[in-house]
Amino acid sequence: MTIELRQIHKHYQQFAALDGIDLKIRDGQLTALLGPSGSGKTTLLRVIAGLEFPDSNPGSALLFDGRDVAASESAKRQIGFVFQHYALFKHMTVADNIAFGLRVKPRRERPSEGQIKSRVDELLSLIQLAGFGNRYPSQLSGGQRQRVALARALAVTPRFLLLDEPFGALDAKVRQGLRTWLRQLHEELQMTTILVTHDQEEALEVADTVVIMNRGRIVQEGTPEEVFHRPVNHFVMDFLGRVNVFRGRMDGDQAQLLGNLEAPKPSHEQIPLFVRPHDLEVDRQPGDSGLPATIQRIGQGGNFARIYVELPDGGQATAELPWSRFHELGLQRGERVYLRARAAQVFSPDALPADYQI
Amino acid sequence: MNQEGTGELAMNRHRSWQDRMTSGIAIAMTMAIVIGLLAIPVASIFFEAFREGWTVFARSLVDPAAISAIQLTLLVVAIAVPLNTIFGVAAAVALTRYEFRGKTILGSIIDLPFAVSPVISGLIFVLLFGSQGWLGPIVGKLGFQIIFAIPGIVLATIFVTVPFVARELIPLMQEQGSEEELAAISLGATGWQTFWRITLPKIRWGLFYGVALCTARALGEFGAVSVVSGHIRGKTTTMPLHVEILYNEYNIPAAFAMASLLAVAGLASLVVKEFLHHRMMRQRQQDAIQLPGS
Repeated sequence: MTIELRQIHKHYQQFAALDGIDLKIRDGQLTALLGPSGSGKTTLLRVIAGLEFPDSNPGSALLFDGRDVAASESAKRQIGFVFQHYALFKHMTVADNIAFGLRVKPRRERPSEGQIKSRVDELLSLIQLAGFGNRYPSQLSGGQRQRVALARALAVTPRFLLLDEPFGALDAKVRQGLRTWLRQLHEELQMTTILVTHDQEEALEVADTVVIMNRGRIVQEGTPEEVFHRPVNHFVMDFLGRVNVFRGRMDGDQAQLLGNLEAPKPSHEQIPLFVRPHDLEVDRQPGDSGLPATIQRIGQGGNFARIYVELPDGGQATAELPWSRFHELGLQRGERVYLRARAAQVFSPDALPADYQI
Repeated sequence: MNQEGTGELAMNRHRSWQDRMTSGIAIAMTMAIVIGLLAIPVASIFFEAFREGWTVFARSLVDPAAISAIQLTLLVVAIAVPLNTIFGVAAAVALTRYEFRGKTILGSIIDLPFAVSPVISGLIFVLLFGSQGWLGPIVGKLGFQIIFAIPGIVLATIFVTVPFVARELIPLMQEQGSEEELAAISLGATGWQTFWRITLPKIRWGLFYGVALCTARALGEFGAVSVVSGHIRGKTTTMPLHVEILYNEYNIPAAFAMASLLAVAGLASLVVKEFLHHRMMRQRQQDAIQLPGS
């Protein structure tokens, strides 16, 4: 199913939670709504679900497969909604939870108890919890509960799935596993899905399309590769991962780092350069145009070494080195090193906040 | 619970003599009050009731006026408690799930019967429905009698016991939140289905607890009922009023026999209450386990 939003606004008194959202979600895609808290991503999801209603504006529309559903209530929209804190019915068994949506159907549409039972069994094996039907939610782990919540949403064969920070309450290891599982499930079901998350890794890894939101607006929309490698502005770049800001110059393709952004800047030829830690090269030799820096601290970044350096004019920067390279250089705290940018992002001045203007 | 337990242990280990004296005094005072003002008087009710033997006890309870008082009390409870249960659930749902104008005011008005003296609660109805009251003449013309009759007793009892169910449910429902209800609605359930299948099972122990409190109060209400009843023996006397009448007639054994019935009902409701409270706490703990991060 396709979902189209046109000029969706939602105000809470003076506060604009959604400030003119235009968005098209293609059939069968997994779209991630990504943004910091308060960016409006959950409000947008709830508007699509019919749990919140947008301000009525001329020109605003919410279309499912081309039909305007803005006025229809949640129950009529045939959605599967999965809540962050699962919202499982605690007094019902897992099987009864999953069967709930089928049992509350009007008598004419309601399947027989036998049909319901086989549907529940089918879903239990889909979520890899066959044999757990008689347990209560309190007897399950967090990851298992979230899978039950998903099965419950799928039981009514919804037209699309909405997931509100589904893995937000789980620990990192479980989250990783569920992410992979969710992507596989999506490949299998091919159901249009919208996932809300504030975890950029989750969005980049799972989604076909990432929609980045800030202050009730969509800032950028694109494939994970597009948003990560070609961020439209500083906000997107900053939100999708760590970033260093330098004062520098572009010599053709070559970025030249000149120092800290805040330090005095004599020439107007200089612009802010945004460099990801893994694009920052660290070397012992100055070479031509290496920016001198002092190692302040060496941290564990998991698969890489994270080097915190101080620039001569007082600025700070972070570089990420593969462990092999790190050991090859044999870097020590307090040492003098030279920085070069392998790649840097430059944004036009109007895409930058005031404190980055030179 | 666990934390409190370890706290007590820690205190016992490091107590100085002042601490020990303070706690000794506190415990002694509590014991004195509980025994002197609660346990002994309650025991004496039963002692007095059976003082003249079983036959006198039994005879005083099969007296027509006594039977009528018991029947009337049960009737009042049977009307007031279900009505207040329905009202209490409705009020709790309204106050915790919806936003509307006057919500805060409604929330405080529910507590009004707790704040005013029961005698005043009774007087309100006399002023409204009595022969000199605002609505009295209309009611009289329609051929009803409210004051000094059973309807008045029922109304006064309802008024006094209004807050019990709602007051028990409101904090419980606030704590539980409404995510499960939203989930039910997103799965296609109607509001009615959501209430019966989700909300009601969620609040059931708290609801039973509130009903138990409400029943205990409805059984024993004296002040408000006394004002509206008119004390017509065998007609408009409830059990507490009947106790008073017998006592004023110096029929001490019969008064205590009736009082002992009320005391048994009170003690029974205490046991039920404790059991329900225990269940409620257990459910709350289970719910807490389900919340992430705890």
